[in-house]
Amino acid sequence: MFGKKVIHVVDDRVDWSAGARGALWGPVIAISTFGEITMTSVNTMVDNVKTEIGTGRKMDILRIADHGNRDGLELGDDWITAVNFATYAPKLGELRSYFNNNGIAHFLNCLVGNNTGLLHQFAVTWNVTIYGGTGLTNGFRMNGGEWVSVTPGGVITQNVSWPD
Amino acid sequence: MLKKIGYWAFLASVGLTLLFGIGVGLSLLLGSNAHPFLDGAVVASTLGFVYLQPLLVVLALVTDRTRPAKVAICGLFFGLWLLVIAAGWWIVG
Repeated sequence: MFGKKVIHVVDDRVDWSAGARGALWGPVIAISTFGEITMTSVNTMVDNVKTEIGTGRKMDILRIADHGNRDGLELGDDWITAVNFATYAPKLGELRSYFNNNGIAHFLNCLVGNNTGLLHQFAVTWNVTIYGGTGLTNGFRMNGGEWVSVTPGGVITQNVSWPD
Repeated sequence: MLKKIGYWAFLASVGLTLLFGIGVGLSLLLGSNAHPFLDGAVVASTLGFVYLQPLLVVLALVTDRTRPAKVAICGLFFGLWLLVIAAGWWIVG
């Protein structure tokens, strides 16, 4: 009866620390996304998503857009790696009950698909399958590598299609 | 008839360019989701600019090239479109 509930979270600020190619990526993604939620940190991401969902339908897809590399990913001003994940896990874990059965989370952050250990930590925390790209994600949301999925059970699948 | 189609295509491309430019400017100033109407208008004008602009410009040029100013503006719009597409490919997260 209803389509999938997709929540888009974007850090829509101009970020010169990401270099010339990365500075405007957030605004570009935000401008071309309807109904996105903005974030400036892990705390604001989690709180804004919870506020958006409220008591309504749970998420089928949480799509997150910020910067990333092989070591970690950015959520606003917070840089998350496999090493410091535990610091953010309690706050991130608050979203666990906001996912639908068979819900997924999809990171558009560049290169995070190479870090399946980190993606697995997100998968366990949220109890959903996590998707990330192995290459750079451009303004059209195309990834120069391939999309990889990681389940809470640790099953890694390479070269999966765009999740929707 | 063809000239009429070209005329409307040219007007549409001018409107689309203005909407896209104003929308992007306001989004950068105020935040893209500052208001649902702004958010929707910017997404629509962005998609319209990316997918429709080259068609409108080509249509306007094919049907009427008698006025140099119009041809120049169409060339400018097409260049702007190429620039936006190139930027979209070049910018990465």
